[in-house]
Amino acid sequence: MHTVFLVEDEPLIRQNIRNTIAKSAEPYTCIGEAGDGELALSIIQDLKPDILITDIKMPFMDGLTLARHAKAISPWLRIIIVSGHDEFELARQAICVGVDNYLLKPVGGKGSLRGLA
Amino acid sequence: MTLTVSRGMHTNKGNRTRSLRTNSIRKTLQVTNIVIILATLVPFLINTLYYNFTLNQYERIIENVYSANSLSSQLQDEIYITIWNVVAGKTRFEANTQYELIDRIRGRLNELKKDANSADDSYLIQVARNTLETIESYVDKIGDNIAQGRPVHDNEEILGEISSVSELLYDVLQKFVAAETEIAHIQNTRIQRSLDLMTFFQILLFASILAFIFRNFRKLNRSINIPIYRLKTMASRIAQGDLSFRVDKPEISELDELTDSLNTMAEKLGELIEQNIQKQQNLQKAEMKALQAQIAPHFMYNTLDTILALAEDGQNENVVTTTLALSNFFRLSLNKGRDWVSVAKEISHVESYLAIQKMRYGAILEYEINIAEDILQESMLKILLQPLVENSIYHGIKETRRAGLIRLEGKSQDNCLVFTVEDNGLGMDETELKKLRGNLSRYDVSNPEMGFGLYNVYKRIQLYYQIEDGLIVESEYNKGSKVTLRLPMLKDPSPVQVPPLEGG
Repeated sequence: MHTVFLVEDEPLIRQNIRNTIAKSAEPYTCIGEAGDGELALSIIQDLKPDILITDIKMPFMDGLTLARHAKAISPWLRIIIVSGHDEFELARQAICVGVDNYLLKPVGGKGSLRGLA
Repeated sequence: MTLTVSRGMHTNKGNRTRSLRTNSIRKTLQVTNIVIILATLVPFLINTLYYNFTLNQYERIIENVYSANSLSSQLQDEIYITIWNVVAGKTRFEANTQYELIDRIRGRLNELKKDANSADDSYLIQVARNTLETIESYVDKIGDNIAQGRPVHDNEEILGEISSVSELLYDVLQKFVAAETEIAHIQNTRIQRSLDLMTFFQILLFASILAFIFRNFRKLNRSINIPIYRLKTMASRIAQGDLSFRVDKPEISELDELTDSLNTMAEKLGELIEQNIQKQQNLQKAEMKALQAQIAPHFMYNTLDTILALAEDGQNENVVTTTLALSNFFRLSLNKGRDWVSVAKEISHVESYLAIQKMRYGAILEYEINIAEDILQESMLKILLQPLVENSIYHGIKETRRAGLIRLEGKSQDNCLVFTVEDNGLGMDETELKKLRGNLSRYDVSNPEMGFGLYNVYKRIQLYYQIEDGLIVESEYNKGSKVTLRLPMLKDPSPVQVPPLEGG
């Protein structure tokens, strides 16, 4: 069983991804979620999840910064970026941070689940 | 607008002066020259003729005097000697020297009579002629005496008579001389007087010519200098950028063409600049539209993402409302390509937008819309409110963790539509606010990032409403922001059709 932490500023999308993970038969369990990077980082330090699914554009702290800090705290963390932006620069930064997957919105719950595989 | 008004004013003035304008410089100079030539030539000719005439008269009198004088002086001796010679027998009576002399004297007397200058004088000559005839009769008697061989003594007696008669003739002639001299004297005084008079008139004439020339010079000076000065003024005004300046028709025809050309040039220049401004504005409008169009896709796929999530979650009703709101949003954004919409449509547009955003952000976003009924049918520029609301969400509410509230209000005030968009988001401190206000007036469009929504609204209000203060931003850090739009109510913008309220 892998633990997943969800960061997304839109409650609806967050809820959707969470529901999909919960309903699926895959061995993933959602242990927590946050609406922005800053909040997420403080929670991650306590929960220590295996997988981080995060949006890029968020208030207070964006997804890439969050990924960099989270990676520093727990190097084994697997990170999946879900973003509406397909700019090369963002993808390049994501690679630098060591992101495992980069999904483009709109993905839908099943899409993000496929990203986990 | 101002340009056309002032143009009309100037043409009116031009018409007024055109009716009382005089002619060309060339004509004025011609007239002046002719007048001056006449003014000098005519008195000169009159003078010359008059002097010629009077001097001629004078000369004739003098000649008369001279000839009468010489006649009278020679007459006394010559008559006596000639007749003495005849009486003494030195010359024969038949030689007719005595009659030749008498004829000669008579001839000269006749000449004098012809030239006599007064009735008195010619009477005197008549007397002289009678006297001469008496002498002649005496001579005849001498001839008779000689022929009859009378003693010389008789003839000597007659000679004495002749001598006294010729003395009389001398006297008469002297009288004639005196009379003629008197006439000459009178003539002389008259000449003297007329000379004075002439001099006076000459001076008068000279003064009036001088006055005429001076007046003419001043007139010419004015009619040349003033138009040229006006043209100069106009040129410098144009150089300074004041294209509304026009010059009246000048009073001289030589400057007509120049004035016309300058006026036309200014007009053309003004038109060109106006055209250029128009083009520039159209370009900016197009630019604004293009930039706005770039934003739409973002919102589109974000919303599609939302709809997808709703669908996956099985919230069918929300899928329907969100999809309807999205479709309404885009239909009103396009507005069949028109730039102006009714307030009702614009509100419907922003409401669709807010409904979609509310669906996405749920509990963190609340909104209130409060629009006065009486402005719903007024027309306004489209898509002015939605960017403000978007701004409130992304730069205000999403930057705080508290529940967000957006309040949109609209009412009419002093013939203006006043809209306020208020949020309780992060807000801005004084420095940020100042920077934002600065950004509005000079925004780098090639690098659109922060504050583009506000700039877009500000710029479009400026372009379409021609006002500078249509958008006012107020803010307080950690309290929220308030954006106010003040749009003049337009009597008749490009035709706006009142929409039936549709969509959800």
